Amino acid sequence: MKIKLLALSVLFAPCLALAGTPINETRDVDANARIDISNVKGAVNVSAWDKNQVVITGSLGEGVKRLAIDGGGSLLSVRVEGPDKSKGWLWGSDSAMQETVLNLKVPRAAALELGVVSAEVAIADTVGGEVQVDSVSGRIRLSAVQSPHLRLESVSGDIEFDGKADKVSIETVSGDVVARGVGSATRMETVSGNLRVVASAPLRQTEASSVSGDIEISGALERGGRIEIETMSGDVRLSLPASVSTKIRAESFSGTLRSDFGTVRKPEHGPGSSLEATAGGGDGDVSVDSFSGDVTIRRE
Amino acid sequence: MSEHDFQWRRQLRDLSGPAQPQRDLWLDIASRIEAEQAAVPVAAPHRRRWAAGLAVAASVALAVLVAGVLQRHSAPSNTVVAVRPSTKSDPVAAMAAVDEQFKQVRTQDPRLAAAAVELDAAAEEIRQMLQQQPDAVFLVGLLNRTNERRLKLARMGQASS
Repeated sequence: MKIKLLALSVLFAPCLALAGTPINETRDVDANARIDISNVKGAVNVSAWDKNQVVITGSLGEGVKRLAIDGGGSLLSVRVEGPDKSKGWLWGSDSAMQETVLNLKVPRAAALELGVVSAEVAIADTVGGEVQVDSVSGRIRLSAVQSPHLRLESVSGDIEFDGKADKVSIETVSGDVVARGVGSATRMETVSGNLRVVASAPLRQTEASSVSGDIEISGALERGGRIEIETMSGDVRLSLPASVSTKIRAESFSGTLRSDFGTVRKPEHGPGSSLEATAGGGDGDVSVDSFSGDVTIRRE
Repeated sequence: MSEHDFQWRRQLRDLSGPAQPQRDLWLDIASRIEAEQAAVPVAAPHRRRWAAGLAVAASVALAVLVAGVLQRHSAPSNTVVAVRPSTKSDPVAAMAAVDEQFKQVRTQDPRLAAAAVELDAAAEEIRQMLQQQPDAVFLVGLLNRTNERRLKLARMGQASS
């Protein structure tokens, strides 16, 4: 019997170690508290509720020094501390520790500031607070988030945003971006990632730029709205409704330009094409600049 | 066939053949080409200088920022001080100098290495396109934003070391 137990414990020991230490912490905070969260690897899942409390569950990975929870009231900080304290607050050698999963319930109007390396981030249902996320390779997903200011930055992680915000800023190096939600002022930048906006509401002021990533934007334009697209070698696909009222200016130095609005001008000799058109009353302003990428402007 | 008809026919036959110019026209053409070539650069460099000026301004501003990162990172580097004054008038050299500085602050963190390589390559490509086509002024903005990202990555790399 003893031998059997010993054999079983040897068999399950690695699994127990991988499962990590369970987390169960609660802190009282203000309704619009700012909550700073950092985790190197694993996941951070944030959802909102109607209590002025933050509840943290999940599991602390093997090798993690501790989960540091400081403050309360207007500012709460939740940090997964790695074994090497001499390194930066977020960084350090992450090979020495296993993944940590943090599940947080936060007041609906809380402001969030998250920093992760490879941990995946999911935020849902917060309303009214600013949201800032910095990630290296972890994917960032926001669903039904309403915020006055949204700043999402990642190096290679993909970013998804669905919700509504006054000001949106999204940046990646190689991560793809899909935005269904839109901001009154939206700025999206990437080097080689693809940018895709499927606007759930009319766009007011949208800037999208890439070096080699493709850019696809489809949606209606608010009266007097502005869309500005710039790319070096990415392809651009812009779909506007037939009822749109805007001036359209587009130019590709060596790519092909196609448009359902106006007539594309091509020089008699040499590459490149340009377009200047007015759709409807010409209230808005749409401009597309591409160096070698193809540009397609479609009427939907 | 009357003498009159004959003369008409002869004149018609002469018309169908190639007409030789009475004088050497090439001299005229050559002088016009020269005149046009002299006139064109007056208009083109105006835009080119503008684009180049923007690039220089952005590069010099970035050089200061990168220098800041470098100085916080290690002992002040003589290279940074040396490249700045000489590049103010030459956009190509200024942009190359900025690249050189970014190489000095390139992160050793393996988690950022691929992005660092990608950003360096992207900046280099934009720089080449801009040299090829200085009229593509929007590329200056694209280059600046790419360099800003390089700077951010350098700062992240610093935080990890």
